[in-house]
Amino acid sequence: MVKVIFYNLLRSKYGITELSVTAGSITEIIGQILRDHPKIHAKDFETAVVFHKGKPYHFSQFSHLVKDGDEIIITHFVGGG
Amino acid sequence: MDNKSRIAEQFIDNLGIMSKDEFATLENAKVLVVGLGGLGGNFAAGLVRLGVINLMLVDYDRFEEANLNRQAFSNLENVGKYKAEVIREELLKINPRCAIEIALGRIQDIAEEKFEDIDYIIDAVDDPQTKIFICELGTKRKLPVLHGACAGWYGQVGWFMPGNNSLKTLYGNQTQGIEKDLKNPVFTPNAISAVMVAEFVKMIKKSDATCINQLLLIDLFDNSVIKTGVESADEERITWSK
Repeated sequence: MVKVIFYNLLRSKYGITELSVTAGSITEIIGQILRDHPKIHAKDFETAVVFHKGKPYHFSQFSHLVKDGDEIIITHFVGGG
Repeated sequence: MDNKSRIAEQFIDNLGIMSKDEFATLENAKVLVVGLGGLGGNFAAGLVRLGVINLMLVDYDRFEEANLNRQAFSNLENVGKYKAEVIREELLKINPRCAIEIALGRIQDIAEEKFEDIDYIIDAVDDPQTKIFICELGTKRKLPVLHGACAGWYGQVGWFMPGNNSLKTLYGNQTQGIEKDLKNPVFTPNAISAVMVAEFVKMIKKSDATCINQLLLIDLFDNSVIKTGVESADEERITWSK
């Protein structure tokens, strides 16, 4: 299983901190989350950034594979000053 | 004259968390602060209250009415004035010994020789592509960059050492984050700039707790902080020592 940590916008909006999902690509993981939690909007992931082993992945890189036992953080980047 | 008598009364209360030698390091450092909005103005004030004397402030912008909800030293009288000029004036009221250079332009347009005596670069701008430029400037000048950003309830802070191009990986071609919709209320830039000042002190102290090549993701709504490593796509570490 993969531990998924929701952070900032997603955590505030849906009140979810952590989920456990089957390993796969980030796209597949998001698909599982959307199936298990129909109140979550797919659009929220289009602008998300996913941290896996310290490396950020954007929407266009969501084919990246996450292995069993790994942890990812799904958040949104901030750029204001 | 010993160290104790040399340290002005106004900085004595900082010595609970740093030694006199560390204070001297801080006093002798020259810090380039890029961006004087919600983060940069508060951060610059924090540095001067710590005891930093030598600063270069860069911002092309003037205060607008919409800045009054959060930006340090903004008020109705200052609307229309250059932020860098107002902030320099205000910082000198805190410590008249400060030597503060200002540049009323974009960081990209400033001749690099102006940065020759800089020791630390602070990224407090509100544009992801300029943040990437600042990180690359750090690599070029072999200087550490303290990055800060915020939006809504959320913020992020971290030091990036020369050669780490993580911000490029993180921001990609984006020109805005969620601040586009969430904007910035008063408390987030205040809180995030305070964390940046704390990180600056940790760097001066050479503390192992310094957030180097990592990002502190801060959520003020949830009262939580996550520290994540940030690797750049093609990382090439460049030796930096201070």
